[in-house]
Amino acid sequence: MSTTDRVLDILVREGGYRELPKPFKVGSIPFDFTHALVAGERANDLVIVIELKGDTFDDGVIRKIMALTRALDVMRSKRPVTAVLTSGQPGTETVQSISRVCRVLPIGAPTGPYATSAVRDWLSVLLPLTQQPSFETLLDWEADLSATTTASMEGEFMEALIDAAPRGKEAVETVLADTITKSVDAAITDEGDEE
Amino acid sequence: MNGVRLKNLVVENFRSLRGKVVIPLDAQVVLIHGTNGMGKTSVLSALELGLTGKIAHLANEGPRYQSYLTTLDSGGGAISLTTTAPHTEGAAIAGALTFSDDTFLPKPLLDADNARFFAERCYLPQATLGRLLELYDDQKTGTTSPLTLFVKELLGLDPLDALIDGLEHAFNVTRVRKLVPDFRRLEAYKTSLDEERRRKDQAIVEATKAARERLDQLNETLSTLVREGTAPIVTEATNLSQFKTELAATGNADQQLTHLNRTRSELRGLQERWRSLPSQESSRDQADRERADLAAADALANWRSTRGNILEDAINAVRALFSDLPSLEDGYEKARSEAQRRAQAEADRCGRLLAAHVTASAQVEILNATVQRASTRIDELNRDLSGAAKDAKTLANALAGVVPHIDGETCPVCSRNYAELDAGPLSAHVAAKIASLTSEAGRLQSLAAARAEESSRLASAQRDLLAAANGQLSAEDHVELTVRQAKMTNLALRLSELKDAAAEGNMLIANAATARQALVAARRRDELSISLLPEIETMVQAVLQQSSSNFESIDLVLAEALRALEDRLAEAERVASVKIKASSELDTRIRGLAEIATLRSDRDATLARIQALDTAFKEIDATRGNAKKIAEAADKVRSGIVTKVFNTSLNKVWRDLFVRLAPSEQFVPAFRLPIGSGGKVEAVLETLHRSGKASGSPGAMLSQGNLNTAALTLFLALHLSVPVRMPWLILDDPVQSMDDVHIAQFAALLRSLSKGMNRQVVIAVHERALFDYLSLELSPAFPGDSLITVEITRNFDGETVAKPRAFTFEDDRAIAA
Repeated sequence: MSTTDRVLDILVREGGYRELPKPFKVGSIPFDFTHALVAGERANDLVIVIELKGDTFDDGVIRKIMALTRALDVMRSKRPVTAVLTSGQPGTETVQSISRVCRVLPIGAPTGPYATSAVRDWLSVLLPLTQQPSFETLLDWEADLSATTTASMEGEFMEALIDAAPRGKEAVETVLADTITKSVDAAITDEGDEE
Repeated sequence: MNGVRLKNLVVENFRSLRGKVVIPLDAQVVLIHGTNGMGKTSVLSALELGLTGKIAHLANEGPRYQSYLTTLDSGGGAISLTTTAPHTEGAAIAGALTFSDDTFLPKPLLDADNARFFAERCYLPQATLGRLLELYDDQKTGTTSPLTLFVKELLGLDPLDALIDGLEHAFNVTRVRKLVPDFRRLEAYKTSLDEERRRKDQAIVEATKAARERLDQLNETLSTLVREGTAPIVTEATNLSQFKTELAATGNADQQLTHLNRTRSELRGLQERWRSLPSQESSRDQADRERADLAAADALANWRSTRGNILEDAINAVRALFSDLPSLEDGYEKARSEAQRRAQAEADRCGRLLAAHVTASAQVEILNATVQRASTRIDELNRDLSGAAKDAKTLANALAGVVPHIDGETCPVCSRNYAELDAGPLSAHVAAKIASLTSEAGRLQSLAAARAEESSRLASAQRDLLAAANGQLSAEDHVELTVRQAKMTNLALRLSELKDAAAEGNMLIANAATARQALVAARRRDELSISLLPEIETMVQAVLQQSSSNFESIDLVLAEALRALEDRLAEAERVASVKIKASSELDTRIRGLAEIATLRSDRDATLARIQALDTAFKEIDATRGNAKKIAEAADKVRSGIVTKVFNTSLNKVWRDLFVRLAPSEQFVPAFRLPIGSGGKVEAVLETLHRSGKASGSPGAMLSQGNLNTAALTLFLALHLSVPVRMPWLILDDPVQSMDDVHIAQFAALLRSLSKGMNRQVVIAVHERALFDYLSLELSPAFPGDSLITVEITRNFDGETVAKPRAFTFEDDRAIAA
């Protein structure tokens, strides 16, 4: 899978983007990029994917993007544009030029085991934030505690402790001390006569 | 709660906001722009004051800031803030503050807890951003570092902490002692009981060992007490008191011993008596003895009648003179030799007297002659002397005295003139007279000397004559002595010749006496042995169970019997002593066993007590074990929760946010979790390489720009991680040190937060281009989405002017999609 394909895949599947036809038109002017996508419901991003091949000239790329943004301006469009550059590495000046008019993600062609992850990292700014599960649902220490402890440990002592825990360390200590004291007293009272 | 927005903010004479400024806030995104010094930060501070009643990052330094809130020379101001709805049920929807140089009357919209929440989680002042990482990563403050506080608060681990901390006592006996003072008492009691038990066990072991040794000893002792072939043996099962009684009952040792002792002393007496008898050999031939006795008597009689008579006569002859001679009874020889000696002595005496008589007679003759001659001479001298001048010498001396008186020739005596005589001078005459006188005197003197000599000689001779006359015997005596001398000499000679006879007589007498004595002794012994033998026989029979006739001699029999008796006695004594020993050993054993029994029962009592204590300890251990398990479980749960929360959400969110802003950064900041369980929850900051490998702290690994990014995203991540209390996010120019690339990413992130996460974002920026860019990027993207931009400037009067613009969604038709 090429980086371009990965980009496309992530954007469509994870970002809810949809691909525009090739070429797509701004007003009446057609534009042709490797891929062009727009965001789904609650965003109006326009993402263009440009694969930098051997025969691609940086100047041509710059010109094309400039032309697109100019066209959008003319159309009073407020769509934020993001240019995703894949495969080849663009020159620094190219990136600077493009970044004046839109967001640039010079992904290049990451390889290795983290290739997909690297691509996603680059694209994450275009992807929605994941709403984390509320901690309150994560945190049920009583349930977790009973799940961790074995049946043998449950009983009066355990209940007393769980009961005391929210009241703080001292309450827990008191429960422990009382339980031990009970045993001690039992033994020492037995001996009371002999002592 | 969701969808509640900040609605409107009215600020009057607050810091750099001079005059009254109304800022509408009722939009999903509020963008505030103002060049530096125009008061955009003041707007956000006013917002904070309206909500919380204080400026958190200034309040840390004290309340002094409250007196500098008023715009210079304005005399006082006010802030009022409203929300679209209560952010939570029953909450206010308006907050206000009036202040002047010396008054500060806050009436915040949020209560204290929510105010704190807002200040920490929803509002990021510019001043805080730079210090955020530092603030959160201040490890020196330990468990109370803000990061840890955040983590704890976030995770609600207090009950678990309470469990873990409260049960920590259970892990350490020392702490149990501290927690339950009685426990120490219990332990001390247990220790003392254990010690007691150990001591008693040892005592039992020692006593048992000693008892076994004593048993062995007892059996050894008993084995020497052989009775009827087999020695009695005491085992553990033996009834000791019965055994003792039996032992005492067997064979009356004392009585036997007494009997044996008596027998022995009797036997010894017999032996003694037997030994006192004369030698046995002489009794053999009594007849010989009789004969010898007779022969000796005969020989003696025979001798007496012959030579004995002669000897006796001779001795008696001597005895006639010397009656004190020893009698014949004292021995012939003695009498004879004494008689001979006396006779000889008498003869010698007589001889000496006779010899002295002869000598004295000769002497008398000589002396008589001397006397006669001396008397004659003296007569002659006397005659010579009578003729001579008697006093010649005196006259000479007198004349010599006159000489000096002679003067001339005149005589001093008669005064006559000597010259007349014509015979020479007078002095010469006198001198011649003197000389003549002097020579006469010499002759006279020698004559006198001779007479004295003769007189002395005469006296001496007369004296000697008297003495010599004494030595002379009378005639009768002389005869008598002469006769006796001859007689004595004869007797002595005879006696001397009888010497052998006397010796023989002596010998014969002795022989006769010896023979007689032997005879008498033999007779006496026979009488004694006849009385002893039956006694000996009885005794020997009793002791040896056989007759004494079986032995060579009575001595042997007695010796054998005594030996046998000694053996028996020794044996009896040994048995008696063994019995005593065995008896005492038995007693010792009985006592030892009783002692062991006592010890055992003591020990058992102690054991019972220890058991009771052990039960208590077991219970306590069980309690401690449970406590430990629960603490460990709690720790595990806590670790689990922490891990879950950090790994599944916090680090994930932070990473997500960070890579959005810095997609090309190879190191991503993260919370590092406490490794392993048991430790406190103490999150620290680190970076992870993209590969997942842990690396250094953010400060060490990230560029300054990315450090800011890390801080910003940390704030956002924390904001996103906590339950939403109020969906507001207020950021004060967070992009000041971001480069263009980051800004573009940041814009996209803000969009995601506002549109994707439904946060009302209020952000102030100072840069115009960024403002424009953000206006574009954050413009409403769907129906209901909204954006308000506010530009803050000043008019010519120096009063602040806020120019708000509201944007709503317009369908974008530029792209035919």
